[in-house]
Amino acid sequence: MKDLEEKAQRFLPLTESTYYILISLVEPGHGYGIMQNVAAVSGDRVRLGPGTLYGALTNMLRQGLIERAGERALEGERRKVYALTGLGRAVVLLECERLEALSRIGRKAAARLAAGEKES
Amino acid sequence: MKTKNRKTVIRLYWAWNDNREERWLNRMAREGWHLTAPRGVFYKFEKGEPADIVYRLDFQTLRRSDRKEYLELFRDAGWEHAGEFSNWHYFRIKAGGGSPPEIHTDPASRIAMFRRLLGLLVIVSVVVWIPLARNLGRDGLDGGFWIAVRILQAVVAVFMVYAIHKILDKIARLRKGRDGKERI
Repeated sequence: MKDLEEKAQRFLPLTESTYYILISLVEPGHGYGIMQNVAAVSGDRVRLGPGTLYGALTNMLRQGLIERAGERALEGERRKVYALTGLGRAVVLLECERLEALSRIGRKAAARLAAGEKES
Repeated sequence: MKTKNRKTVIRLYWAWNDNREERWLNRMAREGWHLTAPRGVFYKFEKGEPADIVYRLDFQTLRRSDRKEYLELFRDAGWEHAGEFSNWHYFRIKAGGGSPPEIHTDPASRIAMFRRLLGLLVIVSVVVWIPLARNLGRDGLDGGFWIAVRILQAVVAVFMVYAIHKILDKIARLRKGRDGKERI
């Protein structure tokens, strides 16, 4: 367990694309599903191009962050499905913790800035 | 070479200028010439309705088993595979109203693409340089034919160095253009 965390630590910080792809795979899904999910959860702010996604999936398969998990139908056609591995899950959890910590510190600073503005 | 509805255009494609290539294909499409097959320096076009078509190039060395998956991913996202040559894949999509559609949506993946190209160039270079080095060191290879062979090899070898330099420069520029927005 300790080993897994240490291994996961090496992947941080994630690029925005990698982060979105990994959290899209909380439920196993195919490539097109990932693109749709990323657009949906980011409120259309992040668009994932197929070239970027294909490169990222190939990398993540090689790094052992995701694995193949059979096939699923998309409009009558078979599509390969990807799922998080144990390492992939550990990376997602660690990255979320890291971002939360950053966000907490930021909010404290923001509160002090707001208080300072009131005084002056 | 030219009939009414088809034509072949000869053009050199420099990999580090992929955006220029994309703009050129877009201009051709606006004139109604749609790419049917890129074949090295020969580009085959078919006449059709003029249209605002966005072209994008991807460099990808695919194993046979990954090919279907790769092409399906682009098709699902709305891109048509217009053709391929030497690991360069030509994709196109109708231009919409908003920002131009992209197949690479972060600088890291463009950098990775040029790194793949660089890897291939280095391998090809070694294949070119080894026989040149062996030829130069060998005696008894005089006469016009061998001089011509050496000159040709030297030209190719120098060009490979130039191409590698241009790709390295392209990667460096892409890295510089990377802003802090990408990583949090």
